[in-house]
Amino acid sequence: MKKHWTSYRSPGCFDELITENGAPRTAVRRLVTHFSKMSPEEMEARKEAAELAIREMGISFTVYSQGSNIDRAWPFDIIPRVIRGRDWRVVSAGLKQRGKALNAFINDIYNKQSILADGIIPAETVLDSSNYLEACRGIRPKFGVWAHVCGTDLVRDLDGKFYVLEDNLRVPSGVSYMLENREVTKRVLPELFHRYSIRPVDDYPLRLYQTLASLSPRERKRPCIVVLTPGIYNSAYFEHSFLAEGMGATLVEGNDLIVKDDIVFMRTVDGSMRVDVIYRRIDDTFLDPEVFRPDSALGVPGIMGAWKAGNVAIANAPGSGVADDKVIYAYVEKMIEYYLGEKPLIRSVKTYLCHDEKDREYVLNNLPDLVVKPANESGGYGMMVGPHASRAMHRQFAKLIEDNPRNYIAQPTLSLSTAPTYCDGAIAPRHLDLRPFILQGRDSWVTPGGLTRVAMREGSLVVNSSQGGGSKDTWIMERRKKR
Amino acid sequence: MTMLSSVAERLYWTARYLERAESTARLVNAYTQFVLDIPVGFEPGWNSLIRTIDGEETFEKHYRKYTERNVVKFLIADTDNAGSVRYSIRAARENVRTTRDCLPESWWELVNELHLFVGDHAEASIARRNRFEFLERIAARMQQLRGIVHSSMPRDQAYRFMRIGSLIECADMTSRFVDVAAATTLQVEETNAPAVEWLWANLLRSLSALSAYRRETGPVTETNEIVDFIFSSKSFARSLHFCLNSIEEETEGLSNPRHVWHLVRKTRSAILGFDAENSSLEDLRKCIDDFQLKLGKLNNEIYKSWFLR
Repeated sequence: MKKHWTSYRSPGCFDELITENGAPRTAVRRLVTHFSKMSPEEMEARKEAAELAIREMGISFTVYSQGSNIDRAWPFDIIPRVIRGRDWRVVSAGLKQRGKALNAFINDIYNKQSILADGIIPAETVLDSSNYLEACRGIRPKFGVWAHVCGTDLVRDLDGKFYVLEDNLRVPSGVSYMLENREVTKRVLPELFHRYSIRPVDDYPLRLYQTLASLSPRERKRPCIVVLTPGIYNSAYFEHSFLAEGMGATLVEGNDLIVKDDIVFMRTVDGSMRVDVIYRRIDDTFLDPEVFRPDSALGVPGIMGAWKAGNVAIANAPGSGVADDKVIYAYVEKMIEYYLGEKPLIRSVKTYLCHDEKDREYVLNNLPDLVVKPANESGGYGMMVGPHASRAMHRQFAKLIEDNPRNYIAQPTLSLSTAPTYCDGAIAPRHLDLRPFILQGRDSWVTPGGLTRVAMREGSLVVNSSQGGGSKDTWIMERRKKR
Repeated sequence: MTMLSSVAERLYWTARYLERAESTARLVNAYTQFVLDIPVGFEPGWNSLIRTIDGEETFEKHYRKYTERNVVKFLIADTDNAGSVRYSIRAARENVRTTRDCLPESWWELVNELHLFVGDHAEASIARRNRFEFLERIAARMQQLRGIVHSSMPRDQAYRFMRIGSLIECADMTSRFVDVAAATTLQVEETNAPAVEWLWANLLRSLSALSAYRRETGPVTETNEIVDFIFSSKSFARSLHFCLNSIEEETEGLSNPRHVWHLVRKTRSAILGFDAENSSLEDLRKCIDDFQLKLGKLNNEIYKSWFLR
């Protein structure tokens, strides 16, 4: 494959492995040599081995997702994405800082609302958001932490620096893919792991357990932790059962739980058993049909009461979504300064808020250069990438923005970084992002690396699995100790 | 750690459905073998197989005549009949999907494979030519699944609920096998076919009981002694007596088993009290009916004690 590697160039973006003059970055020199020495047949064989491993390990993906095989069709690229340990330490610290500020914000919003009183964020942007849940007012969860599991989407721009694109604070998923990708790489390219010092990722379930256990309202050596899933037909069901198993927790559905006198119990063969911590993977408005959507069959009547009474911990806490909003995102850097008195270690992407008159005017005049996103959707739905959209699309979005400015934000089109990716027998640059996971309870912890998502189509910037994205294993590489 | 009621219920049904699939496969196989031995003109009808699994109502919704093809199709390949091999295996698979974490690692893949195999081959296996091999393969796969459970599952609650499920289903199906034999005997006796003796030997063979019976009772196959063996042998693992004893043992490790015990004991004494030598085949069939009702009650009591909490 040597020819492919020597002629490889990123199309004017920062490339994760190869510099602009075509040489491998120092840290990955041997990795690139290894791949370039492979014959095309061998490369193809490794790719097939990876596909086979995924099928074997992940039979569950296809059968679980009933009707839509989206998850399983998500292609995996065998060339890992590598980040140097020392670069990662900065990112990791920045993510912890951001998580801390976001939690301080949520706690403030549902209690004193000082950030609104001080005029840092206009009150109506927060209180009118559909993610703000009045039912959560006055609650103070343990350690003041609301979003215990946070999946933050990072991108690398032209300058090689990481920027935060999105904070996912509701029920972020994908961590099982991160673990699976490592499993596959170990099976398919085992020789690489001898040569490099790569930080392991497989302790995630244990860290999650420790985080959740620290939230228990009762002081117990082994609190009763459950993972609440919407059920088998949810596309992330595999992840729910995977994490429950990894933590030795019980995987429950709504009808396995009952609430008596503000205490949550699960129905077991030995009678009712008290539950201490619920790691919920259903949206908060489905949690309690008595408080939110009366039509929800997924939730548990009375669970909000039990939570408010402090008899059970819910992770992420209901209402956490208030900080997971593309308008609020524009204020996160200010939050870091306001709550922590610190400068942000990772920057957000410059964001124009369409409800602000000046910003809106700028957006409407520059639509072809901007990415426009609805404030409240995830999964890459309903967005417009200006440079790739038609004039008709620009006009359509101009109208959408004018009709409902609070609902839209715009950002400059970033030149997302690329990495060499094996596509149709060749090595080609593809754009990618990174979703690390941040755990917060008594302590906070960041996954070494995270889930790298790749836009498998040439030139595409959309990495979401539901939109034809793939993934890569992510290596945080430490320098080898000299013997 | 304790177990969710809903999970226990699913494990119980997983085991019941797998046991049912295997038993139905054995039943169809045995009956086919039996019919092959009967001289032309004396063949018994196939309807007794449907009657014995209480499937007449469902059957008559879909088929007009009790032909061999229809009956075998209904028992092997039907997707609506809760007693068919295909339905049972699919139902078991659905349950395994959501209880994988309680089961040995390889179970999911094996059950899934079996489900795919049955889906691919059930229709083609209605014909006598393919039937035998298909049914043998299913029985063999069941033995494999059972072996894995036996050798690698911890004897915890998951194991117990599966064991209870398969014991109840086994007792139920065994009694139905005897019922088929009794019904067919009555039918065959009318036509004076020289078939009765090997019908009962065939019954033993279909339960994999022939050599156990010979060792315990001798080589002569007397109807009464066979009934007695299948009802009350203490050592034969499919006998009604053995199944009930084992249910009692498995429930000892669970909380609150008293009501279940009470019913198990009542059911057992009814079975042990049956005097095969001095009863007619009609009496036998009545006793089996009564036994099945009692198993139904036992199932309800299991629900009350552990699943509906």
